[in-house]
Amino acid sequence: MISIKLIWIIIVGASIFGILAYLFYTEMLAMNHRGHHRFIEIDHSETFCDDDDCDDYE
Amino acid sequence: MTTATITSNITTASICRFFAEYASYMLGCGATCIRIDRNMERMARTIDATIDMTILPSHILITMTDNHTGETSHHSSSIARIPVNYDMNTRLSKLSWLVAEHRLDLSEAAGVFRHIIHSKPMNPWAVMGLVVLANASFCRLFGGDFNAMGIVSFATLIGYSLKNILLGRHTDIKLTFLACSFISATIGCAGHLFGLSSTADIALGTSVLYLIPGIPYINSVSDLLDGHYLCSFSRFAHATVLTACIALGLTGGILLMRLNVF
Repeated sequence: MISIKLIWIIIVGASIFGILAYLFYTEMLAMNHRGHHRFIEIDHSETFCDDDDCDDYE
Repeated sequence: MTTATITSNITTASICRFFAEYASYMLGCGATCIRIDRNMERMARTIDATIDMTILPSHILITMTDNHTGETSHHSSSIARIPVNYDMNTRLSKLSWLVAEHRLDLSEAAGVFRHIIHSKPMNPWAVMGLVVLANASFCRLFGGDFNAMGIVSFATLIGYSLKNILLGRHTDIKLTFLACSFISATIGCAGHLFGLSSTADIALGTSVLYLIPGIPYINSVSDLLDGHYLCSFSRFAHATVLTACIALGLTGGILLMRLNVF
């Protein structure tokens, strides 16, 4: 009987922990997206090419 | 009764496409076939057109005939996979009345339709609170004591949160129902395990009630009576599969907790 109660506590505890952890994780993700926005500067005049292709553009 | 005709800037094909999307979302949000039939006929009458609908388990086929020119158009649309939403259902039905009363033409109706289907649903936390209260009320209705209501409330809270998370991550609905009923049933066994309630059986039985697919069952009966047999059997089969998943989860919880309720 004690082992069954233990199993119950483990299952319910794991469910609660999992739900709270997921909610915390999604909240952290949302905060990170809201916070530090960085704009990546792209210079469109530059040509990017692989090593193999560079010869064709030179 | 005055009817408009299809103007040159709105083609029969675009109207047919709108009707197919409209029917697809009506089916997805839980409307019965008779309601969709009536709404579509009402709107089609305003442009002197005839609509024929074929409802398949996952798709809907619309054939529209312009009674004035004889031009026909066909469009097939997959049924929108959205949660049952009676607010959307009501608003889409109201839209059909606005078109029928000539307060909106079809191009305006298409814009309003887009607005309706993209509108924000009710706050999920508020819905969860109401579901918990409703399930606890069911427990009381079936004769559960206040401790049993507390157990059921807790089981519903955890199970419904898990359901929201899993469905939000696009987990298969059958697996979601299985997992949620297992967790809720396990929590519901607390009355037996820890001697918390004198009506522990009622707490166990009502702990999974929030998962029961009542609307598909009711809609399947309505569709059966209206002669949409394919849609009726399809909804019934879907509801039965979900009920089987709930039963499996409940049985798994009971067997794991070694309760002698069978």
